[in-house]
Amino acid sequence: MKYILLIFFAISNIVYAAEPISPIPCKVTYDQQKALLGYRLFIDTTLSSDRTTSCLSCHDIFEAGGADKNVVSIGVKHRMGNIQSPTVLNACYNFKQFWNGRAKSLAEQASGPIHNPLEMDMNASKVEKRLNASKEYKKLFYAVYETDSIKFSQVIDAIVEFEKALVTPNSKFDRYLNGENTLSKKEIEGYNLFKQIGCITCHNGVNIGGNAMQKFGLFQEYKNARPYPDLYSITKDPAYKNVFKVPTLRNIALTAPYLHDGSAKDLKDVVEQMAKYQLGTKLSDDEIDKIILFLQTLNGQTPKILSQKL
Amino acid sequence: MNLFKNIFSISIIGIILFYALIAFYRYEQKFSSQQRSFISSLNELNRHNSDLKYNILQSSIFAYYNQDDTTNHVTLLEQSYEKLQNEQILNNKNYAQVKKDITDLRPVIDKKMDDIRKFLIINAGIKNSFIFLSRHASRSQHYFSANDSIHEQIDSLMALFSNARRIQDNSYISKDSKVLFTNEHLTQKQKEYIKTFNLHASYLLQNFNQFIKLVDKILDDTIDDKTDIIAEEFAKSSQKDMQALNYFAVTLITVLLLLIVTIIYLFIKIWQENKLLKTARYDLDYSLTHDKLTGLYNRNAFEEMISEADDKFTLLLINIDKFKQINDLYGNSIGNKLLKEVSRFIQFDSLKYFHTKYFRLGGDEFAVLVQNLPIKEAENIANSLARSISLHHFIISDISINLSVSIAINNKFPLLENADMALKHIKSFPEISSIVFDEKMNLLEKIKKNIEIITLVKEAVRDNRVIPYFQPILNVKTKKIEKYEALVRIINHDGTLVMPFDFLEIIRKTSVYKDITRIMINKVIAIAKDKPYRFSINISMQDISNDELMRVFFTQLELNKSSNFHLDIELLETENLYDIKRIEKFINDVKQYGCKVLIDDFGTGYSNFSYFSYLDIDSLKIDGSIIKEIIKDDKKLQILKAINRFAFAIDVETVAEFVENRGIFDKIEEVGITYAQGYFIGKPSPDLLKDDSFTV
Repeated sequence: MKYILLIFFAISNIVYAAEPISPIPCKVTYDQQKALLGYRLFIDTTLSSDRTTSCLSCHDIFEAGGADKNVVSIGVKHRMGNIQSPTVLNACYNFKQFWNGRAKSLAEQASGPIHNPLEMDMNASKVEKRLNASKEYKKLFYAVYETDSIKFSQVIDAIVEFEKALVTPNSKFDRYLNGENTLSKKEIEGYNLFKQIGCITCHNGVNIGGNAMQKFGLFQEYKNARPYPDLYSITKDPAYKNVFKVPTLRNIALTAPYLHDGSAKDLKDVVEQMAKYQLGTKLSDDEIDKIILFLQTLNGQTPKILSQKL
Repeated sequence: MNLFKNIFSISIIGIILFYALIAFYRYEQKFSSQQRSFISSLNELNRHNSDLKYNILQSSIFAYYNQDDTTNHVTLLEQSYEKLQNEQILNNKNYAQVKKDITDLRPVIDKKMDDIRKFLIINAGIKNSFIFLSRHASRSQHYFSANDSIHEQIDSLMALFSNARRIQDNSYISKDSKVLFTNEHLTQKQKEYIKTFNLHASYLLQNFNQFIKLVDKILDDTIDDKTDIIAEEFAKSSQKDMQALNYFAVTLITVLLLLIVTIIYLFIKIWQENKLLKTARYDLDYSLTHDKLTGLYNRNAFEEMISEADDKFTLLLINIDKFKQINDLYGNSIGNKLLKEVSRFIQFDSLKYFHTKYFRLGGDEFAVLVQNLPIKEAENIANSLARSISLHHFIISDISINLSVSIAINNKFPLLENADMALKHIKSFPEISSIVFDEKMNLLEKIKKNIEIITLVKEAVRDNRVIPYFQPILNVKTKKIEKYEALVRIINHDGTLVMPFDFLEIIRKTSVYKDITRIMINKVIAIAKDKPYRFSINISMQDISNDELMRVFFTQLELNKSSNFHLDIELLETENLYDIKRIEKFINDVKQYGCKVLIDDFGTGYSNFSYFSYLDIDSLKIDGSIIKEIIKDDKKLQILKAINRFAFAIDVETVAEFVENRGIFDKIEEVGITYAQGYFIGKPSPDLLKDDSFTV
């Protein structure tokens, strides 16, 4: 017994560093007028070829935590997308955008879906033409950019500014980290489990994820139903097969379905899958419940900008 | 002048230099700022790389790790690389190699990023497996009995993993390391336990090797080496740049120094030229105001001084007596030395107490100008100065010369003219050595009158108003008029006659004098033609000395040679006949034309009996001063008799002039004088007498 304890001691010399999760800052700075213009563009279907789809269509910031309730997004002419839409909330804290991290910045990301034939099916000049035809937009853009001719880069710039405003501070957990409130016993146990079983190794930082790439199926191979745009599709390095960006767990309770393929329909489902593929373990129902309780503390405040009148 | 050209060139060079300096300064500033910027970027890159490594190391050790830090550091490294790549200095072609090195760094960094990405993927698994295994192992007693050997297996595996983890060395775990063995006899739960354990253990066995390799690769990357090379390459290139800058700076400084040297040289040159100019101007001023010979002030200075000064001046005008004779006798060289000596001598001791200036006005004339010197005192000084000079023996080149000076003193305007007059005045009184100018001297009037007379004579010559008068000369024995003496007269504007006594002496030194003689010769010859009388004209030594006049005279004689006339020459005895040879020739020449020669005014002044011994004299005219007195003065009568006897003895005829009355005539007849001339015989008249005979 003594011997075992000794070994336990030896292994427990893995050092526990400071709190690996940081709260979202309460104060974010952005250009109000520009962000509001971005807000208007975000919800405007004018930016899609058949005027049916807006950014909001797949990033439901009102109902679905900035993500899509559908397994895969539906774009113009009811075209189906190839991946589950990640949330737009707190996206500004992600180190890279898209599931495979191909966009280094929000601006790069924002122009993606507009050009994607499966999503909005537009291009820069078409967007410019449409917006320049609108007296209202011309007025709004003039107010922000002091220009008579709207440029696509300005459209992206405004949307990015809006996305900067899409942050959800003051979640129950953040307030706990800030010492502003307490968590229930079970929630704390959930958080401790989250750390002890190793979720924390990937889901850390301000966005509780969104700061690294990880292979899905670390301990057990994950068989995709069909090919998904993973990191391998960009680098062609076999080591990156099935490697995706670690998604944020902020507002996770609101963004079902889960995983890149939307195969997990609820939190229980996704926690079980993550334990199986990423941690190589099986959690008890009690443990899963506690972790879910913890995850539910991560829902933040609705971004202030959404309560503003357009 | 060259100077302006030089100044212009220097200004141009200066301006160019100024702009070059500014350009140099700006280039240097730009260069050093770019250099600093580059070095700081390079250091930044290194720092971020080190930070990233440290971060990765932490991440590999800590169980919980906020990967935001890692991504931040990755971003910072990327940004610092881009910043380095965009450094301005790399646009310079001198840094092409550095630029290439930096470009070559790109794939290295990309590789590192890739390694980090892979590390992060494996790191999560490794960490989780370690955590899992430590928890899992601690629960083994829940699944197996205490004495089950599986505990030992677990312990040894865990020890293996623990060591590998702590020492970060994969040699502790190899692929051969065994996992737990399962068998049929175990319960489902026990089988499950072993399966889960083995899942993680084999993950570690499979991946720990790569994990260690990745950590090693990331920590021991080649970025440091590459940046070292870049730094080295950069130092080399910038040194070249610096060298170019240095050369430029040295060139600039050299040009600057040359410029300064040139400016200094020019300054010195200008200074020297100015000095020369000053000296030249001083010399010029000096020569303008000073006498070269004596070093005293000259006439210019004198005139300037007396015209400028409103002070009361007393002038002592000093003239060396008979200096011309000294000059003729000893020569100019000694004359000049004498003048120098005199110039020193006149700087008289008693004058030194006054404000005194000394001048040489020209020739042998000196002036002493004294301020506020009373006339009386001036006279005293002048007298003692004249006395000292006359007593002094001037020794010039071993010759002892005695001389005297005449000094005129004047303080009345016009200073010099008045003194001049006084000086002329004093020359008539050899026994006086100094005189104070006095307006009563009327010297001014005399000069004025002289000028009037000279003018009068000149006009008379021009207007043909010079005419001969003839005075008859009686042969005492035959009582017949045999000769006439031609006497010059000038008819004045008002018709009155001007006598020779009034003008002849005045014009003697002027050029018009010879004109009078010429006119007389011409007119007398014209009248004497075909007349039964002898006509005599007066010829002076001065006339004989005048070659031009003599040429005219002899031409006239030659021209009228064929005419019948008798011309006699009366040599004036009033002056010294000093050039005997010339006179001898003259007498011989005139005798060719039948002229007789007579010595005029014999018995007074210069009378020299010796003339007769070597001059062919025909007669002599006894001076009027003797004749006039012969009745009253027995001595004069005796002189007359003696002269007559002498004349008789040497066979020379005698003429008595100033025979004014019967008494004198009788007396000369009694003595035996050959000819008589005077008012008793006849007054001078423009016409000849009608009757030759004379009745007593």
